[in-house]
This record gives sequence, C-alpha cells and structure tokens, in this order.
Amino acid sequence: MKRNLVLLCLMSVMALPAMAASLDEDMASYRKDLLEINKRLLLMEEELLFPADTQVTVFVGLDVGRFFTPDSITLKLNGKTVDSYLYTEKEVKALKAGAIQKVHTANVKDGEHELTVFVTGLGPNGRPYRRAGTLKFDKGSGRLFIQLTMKDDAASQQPVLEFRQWQ
Amino acid sequence: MAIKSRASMRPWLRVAALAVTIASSTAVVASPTPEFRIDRPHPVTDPAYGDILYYYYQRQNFAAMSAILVALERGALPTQAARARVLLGALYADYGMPQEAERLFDRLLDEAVDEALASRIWIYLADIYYRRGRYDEALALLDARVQSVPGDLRQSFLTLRTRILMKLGRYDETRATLQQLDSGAVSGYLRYNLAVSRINAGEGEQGTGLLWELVNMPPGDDEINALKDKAMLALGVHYLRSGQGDRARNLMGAARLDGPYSEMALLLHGRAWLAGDQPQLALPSLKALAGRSMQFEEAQEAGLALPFLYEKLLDLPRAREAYRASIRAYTEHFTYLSALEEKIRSGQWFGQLTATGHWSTAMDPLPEFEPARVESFATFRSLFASHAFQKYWRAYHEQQRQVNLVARWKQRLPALDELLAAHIRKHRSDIPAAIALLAEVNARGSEQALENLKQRLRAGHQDMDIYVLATPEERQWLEQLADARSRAEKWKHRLPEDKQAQLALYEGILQWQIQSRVEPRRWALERRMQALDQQQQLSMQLTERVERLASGDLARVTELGHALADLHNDLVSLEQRGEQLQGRLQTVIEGMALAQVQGTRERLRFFTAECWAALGDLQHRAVKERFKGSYQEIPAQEPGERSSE
Repeated sequence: MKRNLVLLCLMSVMALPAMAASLDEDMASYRKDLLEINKRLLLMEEELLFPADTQVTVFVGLDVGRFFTPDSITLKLNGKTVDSYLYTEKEVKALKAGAIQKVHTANVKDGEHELTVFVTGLGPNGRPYRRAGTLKFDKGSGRLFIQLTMKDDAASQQPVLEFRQWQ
Repeated sequence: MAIKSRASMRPWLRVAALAVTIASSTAVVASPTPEFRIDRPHPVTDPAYGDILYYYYQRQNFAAMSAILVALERGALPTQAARARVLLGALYADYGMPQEAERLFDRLLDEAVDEALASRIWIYLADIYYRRGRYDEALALLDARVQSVPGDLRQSFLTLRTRILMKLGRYDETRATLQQLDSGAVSGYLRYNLAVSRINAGEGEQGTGLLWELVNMPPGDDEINALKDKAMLALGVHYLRSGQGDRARNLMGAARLDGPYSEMALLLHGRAWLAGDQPQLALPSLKALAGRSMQFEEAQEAGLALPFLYEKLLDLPRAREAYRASIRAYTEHFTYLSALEEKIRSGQWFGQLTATGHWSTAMDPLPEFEPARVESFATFRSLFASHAFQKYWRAYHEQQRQVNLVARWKQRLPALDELLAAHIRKHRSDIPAAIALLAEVNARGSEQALENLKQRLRAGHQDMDIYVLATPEERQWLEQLADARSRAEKWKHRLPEDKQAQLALYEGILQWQIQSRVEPRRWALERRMQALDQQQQLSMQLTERVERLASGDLARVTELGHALADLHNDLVSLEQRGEQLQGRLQTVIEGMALAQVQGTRERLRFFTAECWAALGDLQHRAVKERFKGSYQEIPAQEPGERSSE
C-alpha cells in the first residue's frame, strides 16, 4: 500500500512537466478569450451608457509638469459638478511620462454647453496651487472629445490650462 | 529554534524571486522612467493612445491590453495604431501569450511598419525566441535586424543580449555587453550567473574574478547583501571543489550568520575544516548548524556530520549520543512530513498559502507572496524561491484575478440587460412619434415652397418684373395706377390732357421709386433665402436622424440584445474554464510541494540509515575494545541500551 503511494507520488512528479506545458497553453488560450470578451463587454457597456450621438469624453494630460503636480481635478458641466478625481503618485508619474487620462464621459444634448475644470496641486516651489478653466462648446451629432492639457508656461513659470476639442 | 524572523525572510524571498525572474525572462516590456517621455520622440497624437499609456505606465497591463483592443476596434487610433499594436504584442508576450504575440509581430512586419517600430518588434521577437530556447535565432535578430535601439528599451536589449550570449557560451562577449548595462540588482545577478557559467565551463579564474567583484561590493540593501552572500558561497564551493580548502575556510569564516544563506555558509565552513583535516575547528560551525531547525536541509546534513566529527575526534560517547539525537530528530521530522503531506493533500496547506488578500478587483496588482502564511515556510524555502513555483504562484493569482473579473462582469450584466430594455422601450415609444413627425414635415412641403420662392425671385430678376420685389403698399399703388390707366384709356376722349400727363407722371415716379429699391431688396431677399437654406439643411439633418430612429436604430438595439445574450453564455463558459484552470494550477503547486516532501523523506531515510549504521559500527568497536584479549569475561549488557536505539 505504502509502496503504491510512493509510486503514485513519483509518477505524478514525473508527469508534472507535461502537465505544466499543456497548462501553459490552456492558460494562454483562456487569456486570449478573456481579453476578447472583456473588449466586447467594454464596447457594449459604452454603447449602452453613452450612445455616440450624445457622448462627450474629457481627457486630461500634463505637459511637462515642472511647474505643476496635480492633486485633484473637479469637472463642472453647465454649472453642475459631474466628476472629481484624486490622483495617486503612480497616476501623476504616468501623466508626467506623457500619458493621457480619460477622466469623464457624459451624455449631453446637441447645442451649447459649458465645461469648467478646477485643478489643485503643487505649483512652483512646491506651493499649493489652484487653477480653473472654462470651455464653451457646441455639441453636434457624433462623439465629441475634449482634451485638457495642463501646460508649463516657461515665461511666467506657471501652469496654464489649454483646451482642445475634436469630433 | 534558530530560524530567522519572518521579516528577515521576506527580502530574501524577494531577492530569490528576482533572481529566478531574471533567470527565466528578460522582461523586455520597457519600464517607464521619469526621464523617458514617449511623447518626445513619438508625440501622443491620438488621445486613445495616451489613454493606453496611462494604464501601461502604471503597470496595469491587462487594462492597457483591453484599452488597445477597444481603441483598435473603434478606430480611435488613426495615426498610432501600429505603435499600439507593437505595445500589444509586447504585453501579450509578457502575459504568457507568446504565440499570439509572435503572430501579431509577423503581421506587423508584413505590413512594413516604419524603421523605429520595426526595431522594437525585432527586440520583442528575439525575447520570444530566447524564451523558447532558440538562442542563435534570437541573437541573429538582435544583431542583424535591430537598426537602432529605442532609448526606453536599451537596458532590456542589453539584458537580453547578455543572457543569449551566456546561453551560447560566448562569455567574453557576454562580459563586454554586461559592462554596458547600468549597475544594479539585474546587472549583479547577470554577473553572478556569468561567473557560475564560466566556472562550470572550466574557466575558474575568470569566474572567480567576477565573483570577487560581487563579494567586494559595498554593503547595500537586502538585495545587494543577499547577492554578496550568494557570491561568497559560490566562491566557497568552488574553492572547496578545487582543493583550496584554506581559501574556502577564510571566506566562509567571514560569512554572515544571520543572512538567508547562513546555514549553507556554516555547512561549507565545517566542510572546509574537515577537508583540511582539522575536525576540531569544524566543530563550532556544525554544532551551531545542528542546533537550527530540522526543516533546513543543511541542518539535516549537519545531523549526520556532527556525530561523524565527534567520531573523528575520538570522542565516542558524544558521537554515540549525537547519532541517537539525530535519529530522534529525523524520526520527529519524518512524522512532521507525514502530517504536512496530509495537509497538502487535503488542500489545507494551499489554503493557508493563498489566504485571500485585500485585492479583488481586476486591475489591482498581484499580491506579494506572503510565505509567512504557512508554518512550513522553512521546509519549502528553496521551492518558494524556485522559478517554477514563482511562475505558477503568479499564474494562480492572475487566474484568480481573471475569475474575479468574470464574476464582476456577471454581476454587471443584469444592469446592462436593464439598460438595453430601457433603450428598447424608448425606441418603441419614440418610433411612432418619429413617424408622425416625418409625415407632418412631409405634408408641409417646406422644401418645395422654398424652391418655388427662389424660382420666382430668379424669374422676376430676369424679366425685370418690379412687381415681384415691390412692397405690398407699392403693389397696391401699382394696381391702383394700373386700374386708373385702364379707366383713362377707356375714357380717353373725355379726360383732359393734363390729367393724363399727371397720371403718366405718377406712374413714372412710382416705377422709378420701386426700380431704385429693387437691388437692395433683391440682396436682402437673397440673404433671407440663404438663411432659410441653412435652416432647411438643419431641418434635413434632423429629419435624417428621425428617419434613422424610425427605422434602422431598432435593428441595432435588437442586435445589441443578441450580442448581450451571447456574452452571457460566453461568461458562464469562461467562468467554468477559469475555475478549472485554477484547480489545475493548485494541483501543479501541490505536486511540487509533495515532490519536495518525498525527496526530503528519501534523504532523511538515507541519513537515518547512515546514523544507524554508524551507531552499529560504534557499538561494534566498543564491544571489540571491551572484549579485547579476553573472550571469557563477557560483561552484562547495559540494560535497555540496544532497545533504546
């Protein structure tokens, strides 16, 4: 009985590499399927929550971030606060490295709207800094993207907010 | 028990994990550093690409891959699709999907991407080849295909090249490449690996030179100190093997007694003195080691070496006692291993090992390995530090994360269903209203009316018809004058000539007045027509949208409904597959642990047998000594002596 157990154990140990190889393949196949389904679900969710005709997406970027390190951002759409976000150190690093954050997606009707952005953080010499910017935009048919860039203004040694929009 | 504290074990395990990671993979996916800004040489022109980088720079690779796939599907990368696909390939390879990565890279190379991107692809492909053991092909790609190494991939490129050259046994070139690498833990481990490879290849002098470089590094953090200890041990082993016991002794005498490699250092120190035929000097090291937990392999070996040492020192009573103590310790450990095996087989051991941490969402980083969770950590410390264990440990947690992700989607599906139902309800109520509105718009015929107006204006202008551009008052006057004219014609013979002339004058003045205002009026009218045109266009766009709503959009929503039902089924199937995979991963990890238990048991069996044999020899010698020269005087055996053994 004991001998059989040892043999069984040894056999299972010997079978481990083959088992592991097939496991690696199955894991890769599973991950591929999972990524595909995750993509389909993300697209579906967006389509249902934010149909293209009414969708407005706000992106935030940082260029170059010598004079400003963001702590938080608050978005107001037509006078109503729609989103607030607190940045982690990792997120700020990512923004400083050139990444762009998709900070908010909303549904708005066609016509004129006003977006106001408040950012707080550390300004020149590490002092607390607060800045606001407003953009009036016309929402037509189709998706609208708005990009806010917190830019360094070398002349004034201050950050400036710059908006850009496109369809 | 002299086992190190948990806190001191964790850094060691991290070091070991780093070492096995380096040994197995070069992790070519570039790591973002503050100096590196991807938007300098390659500006982020597509915001969707910036969004991808946002996840990638935070090492949320799954989220980054998902963002790439979504952006590609939606066509949100008009200018940076190729670059995003290269990144996707690199992330696939890093995520354990090398075949998928290779296919993607091949497609990209077929599409003739630009030179800078192609260089990246060749480096990633070389990494895949390296992982598959195709070293010559990997090196050929790096040397012949990569035109210029992108800045963010330079360290990865050099690390990869170093490892390939090492595998090919081209050690001088390996050394030259290594020297270009930045100093740090990765470089240190590569130097260590190169040193060991050179020693194993018979190039002891070059190998020991490299190891001495590591040993002589100034003390640093846990990683650096552990690396120094490791290098010192490797040197000690080499000196012992090559008959340089005195050098090994000196080296091991300086080894740390509290580091993760201290057991091995003590054992080697003892062996070095034994090899130098000075057993009395090996005693302190082996005694210290024998006092440590039997869970350490070195302590198990010391259990056999210490009594042998006493025997060599002719301290036979102590030797006997030490052999007996070792047999007791081995037997106790045997019992412990049996209990441990039971725990492993019942899943209790694995449950302790993987106790659910705080992480549960799909994008959290994997939890750090917490060996302190299991009591048997010391038993399995070499297993925990092995590449195979670390690989499947990570895979298990990655699988757990994927199962969590699937569960989260399953929870959200009812909300999506409800959202879709709301869309359908809205469409059903909107469609009749839209159809009615379209009918009303058609009935008004505003487009045709505007066109008629335009034609009238054009005709009036061509025919110089002032009537078209006259005001209603002027038109009334014109009509009255025309009426007066016709009456005057009728009563011409009765109307005085001066009245006729007066009528003609009035007529002329009115025509002149209207004529002089025609052009400004025409311009004003044209402007109004243009404004009406614009309104008409807007109205047409709105009509189109209403028409879309009234017809095709419901089909789209219905299509979404079918897709959602498919997703339900796919998620259920994925959940089952995920749980099965997790079970298989658990089996593999438990199989490794069982294999180690079995190996330890075999070793203990051998050690116990050796102890018994040595003890028998000792008894035999003692008996022989006692009865030397006189077979008549047989003394009585000490009661219970044999039975106690």
